[in-house]
Amino acid sequence: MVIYFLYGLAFGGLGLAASLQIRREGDFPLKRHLHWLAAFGFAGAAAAWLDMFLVSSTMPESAELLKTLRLIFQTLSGLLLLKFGWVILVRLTPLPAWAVFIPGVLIVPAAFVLTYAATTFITPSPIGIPIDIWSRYLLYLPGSIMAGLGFLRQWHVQRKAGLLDVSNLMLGAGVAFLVEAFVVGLVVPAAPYGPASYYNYDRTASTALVGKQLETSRTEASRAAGMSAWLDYQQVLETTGLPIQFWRTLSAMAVTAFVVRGLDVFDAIQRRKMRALQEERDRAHHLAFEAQIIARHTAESWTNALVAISRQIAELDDVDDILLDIAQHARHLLHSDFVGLALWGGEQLQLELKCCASQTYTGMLPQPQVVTNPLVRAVSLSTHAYRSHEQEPCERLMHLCCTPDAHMGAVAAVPLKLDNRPIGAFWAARTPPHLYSDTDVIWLECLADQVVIAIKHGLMTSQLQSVSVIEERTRIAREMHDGLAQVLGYLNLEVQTLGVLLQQGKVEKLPRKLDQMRDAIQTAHADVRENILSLRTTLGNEKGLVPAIAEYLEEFGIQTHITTHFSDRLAGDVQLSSVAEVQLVCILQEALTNVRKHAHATHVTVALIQVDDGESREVVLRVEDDGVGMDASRSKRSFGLQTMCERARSVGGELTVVSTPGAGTRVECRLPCVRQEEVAHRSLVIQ
Amino acid sequence: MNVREWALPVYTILMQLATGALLMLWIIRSAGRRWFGDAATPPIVGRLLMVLFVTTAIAIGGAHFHLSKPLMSFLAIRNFPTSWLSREIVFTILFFNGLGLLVLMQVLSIRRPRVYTALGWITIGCGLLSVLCMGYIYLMPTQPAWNSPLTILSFYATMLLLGVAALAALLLMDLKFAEVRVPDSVAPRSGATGRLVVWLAVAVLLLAAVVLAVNLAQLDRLRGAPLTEISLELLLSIYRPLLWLRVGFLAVGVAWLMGATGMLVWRRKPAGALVVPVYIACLSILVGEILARFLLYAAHVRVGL
Repeated sequence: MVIYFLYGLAFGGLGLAASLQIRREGDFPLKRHLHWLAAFGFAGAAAAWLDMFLVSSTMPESAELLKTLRLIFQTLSGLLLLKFGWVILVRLTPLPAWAVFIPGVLIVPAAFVLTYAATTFITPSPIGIPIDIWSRYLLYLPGSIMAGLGFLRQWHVQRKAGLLDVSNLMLGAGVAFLVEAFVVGLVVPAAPYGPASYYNYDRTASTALVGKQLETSRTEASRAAGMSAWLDYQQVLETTGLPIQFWRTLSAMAVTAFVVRGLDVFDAIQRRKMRALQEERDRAHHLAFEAQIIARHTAESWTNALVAISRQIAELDDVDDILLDIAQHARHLLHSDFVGLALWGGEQLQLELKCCASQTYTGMLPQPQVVTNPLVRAVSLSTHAYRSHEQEPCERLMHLCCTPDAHMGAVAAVPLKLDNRPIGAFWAARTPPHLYSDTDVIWLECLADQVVIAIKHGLMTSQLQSVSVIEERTRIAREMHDGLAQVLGYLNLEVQTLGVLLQQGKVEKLPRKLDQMRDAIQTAHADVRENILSLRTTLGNEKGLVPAIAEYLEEFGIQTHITTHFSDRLAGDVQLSSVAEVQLVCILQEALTNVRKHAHATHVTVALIQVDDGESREVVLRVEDDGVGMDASRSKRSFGLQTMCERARSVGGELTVVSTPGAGTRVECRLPCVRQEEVAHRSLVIQ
Repeated sequence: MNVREWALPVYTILMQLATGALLMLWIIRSAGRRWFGDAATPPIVGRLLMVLFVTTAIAIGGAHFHLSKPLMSFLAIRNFPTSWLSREIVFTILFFNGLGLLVLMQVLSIRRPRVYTALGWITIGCGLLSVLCMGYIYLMPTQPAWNSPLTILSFYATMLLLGVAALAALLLMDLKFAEVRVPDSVAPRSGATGRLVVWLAVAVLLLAAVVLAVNLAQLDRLRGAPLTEISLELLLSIYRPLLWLRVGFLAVGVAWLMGATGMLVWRRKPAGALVVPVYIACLSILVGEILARFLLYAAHVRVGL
């Protein structure tokens, strides 16, 4: 009775532990199948305790009912064990591919076993015996074996994962279930059929034919049927000296101990995995944060580079210098070994490398080098950028740089287009096989846009300079026509007049004529000197606007004997574009010419003022004289004043003339400054 | 029946199953292009041949448990001219060797289609002759319950029934295996396998009807004659539950198969979903046939020595 009680207690403990484990938090793989184990434990406990009541004979009147219930619970627990064994074998860890054959292969032996089992039910023994026997053979035995194999697989898996403590428990559980398979599934009550007993068929058949009931006593059954038992309860008792129930209790306790410990460990594994996942997530967050910082730094570097380039373009720096800076920025920011810029050109219209940046050489090429790389040539004519992939053919990575035999591992190339016409290509290449990313290509495209803008600005500046030269020539021609040519014509007439007067002997008129001629020559001389001064006053890089104006005014004063005063009220550097500075000087020269020619002034004041109203900044040039002034109608007809207005408007400015007859004239020219924000904004738009 | 006599159902049932399955497999192989296409047919046939070869080996090995001196079994072939048992053994060995050669050709990738096909048909012929001899062994005047052409007919009917059912299970097993090993290759085969299994299920239904009809005819034959009445009494008394179980298992197996294939047809499920139902159906049909064979052996009454 004690053994039966302990046997039931072991199973009950197993069921209780499994059901408690189901309620605990956590989601380890076995948890989803624990209800089968719990149900098996409770059903097994019920069967064992029913056995206890049957053995104790405390309720003889209910013996049949108890027997029936015991058979039901035993069969039920066998079914539940079979289900648990199946899920732990199949569901926890995927089976190898060949395992799909197992159910198919087992059909034939299963069919024979089932048939054999069915035939044993016709033997004249109590029906409870074959039910007991076959519930063990067909349910407990395969269920325990599958559970044992399932735990042994877990032992293998955990050992490979390096979890030795867990793997040892899995090994213990696996072995315990296999022992359970033997003592519960294979050792059965005495019966006149195998595999527990091997018996003489003929004698049993005759017994069956005469209808004699077989007793459950092994001795009598053996005697009646000539059985040779080898795996029934009596045989176990004779062999080991202990009843089978003792071994079953021992086995059940071992199963319970290992499985309960194993469940805890499963939970611990799950917690460990959760911790590992948490750490992994933290690491991922940290890495993502670092990546964000790096990305931000990269973006800042790129933005700074683009702003610098935009500023260079806006300040009309030399195009070659800008292109070279772009190439250097690209090489530095893309971590490239070589960056090249090629343009279609030459006598035979070929793609020629104009400038490059590499470790060995950075600069404009003295002699354009024809680009032969097919990839770059194709990209220069296409509309899309390209970046090489891992399987890029070697020939497409050859001749990417100046050195003919240098072989690059990766390349990113973008086309250069001016007004939708292909003008060349811009590419970066690396020696190590780290491929360029899509982001790299986007950045390269930004730089390519800057290249195109720089080239376009260069072309426009060149055109503007040509126009300025023509304008200047026109002005000089006009000045010579209006000034020197008129004077020379006048002197020609006067000389002829002098000749006639001499012939006529009117000598008394000669001094007056000579005075008039001297005045005319002095005027012409002043014009010529002023023109020479204007032509000499240029805005080179070495001389700023303010010094140039100051020097010009000083010279003007010396030549014209007009007292000049220059007032520089600019805050810091002049923030005018180069074109605007040129136009400003021209306007000043024109204004001072007017002062000299027409104003009859003795003083002239020139002021440069910076006006900042918060939204816009302007540079104001103010020229004031104390001359005779003029009326408004005359100012509108003046060709010189109209030219000055046009010059101001061409650079976004305006010109106003305020003059009152007898009260001097004030010319005021307002030109807009180039703002830093505008340059930065332009760069961002380009991006 | 003791363990020794269980060797007889094991041998006869498995041999009939292997012969029937090979016959159906070769018929399908002939129409292989239509079902699976040229590329897919050889691998399918090859893997199934291996299973049939192992099945036959188990059958022959199992038969040895019936012998008093298993190691001397080869002596049985000496009586080929006079003994149906010797002829059965010879044709069984030829069938087994033929299957072995087919497997060998498949393993060694020997591309001789005509030889391969002819060898298959010869092997099937040996199997059919083996089943014929198997039946003739039981046509003995001393065994009135067996001594009827219905015995031979029932063997052939069982052969076809088990062959068709087994082939359905084997095709699905092979599909499942391919699904695990090379998932991409399954999609084109899945539809063909599904259609074929549906046709095989219809064949199983018809053959089950034939088998039951033959069994009923055998029972009917036992009635009336005094020597066979004892067998009939055994079947209707002690073995009555097994008789009902035999019919029940066969009916359940066929119904399960029809239900599963019906689901495939009407609910348009993939063939892979049929694996478990077809396995259960085959198991049930096989249990039914083994029970029938058990009853054949258990109900016989010997007359004379």
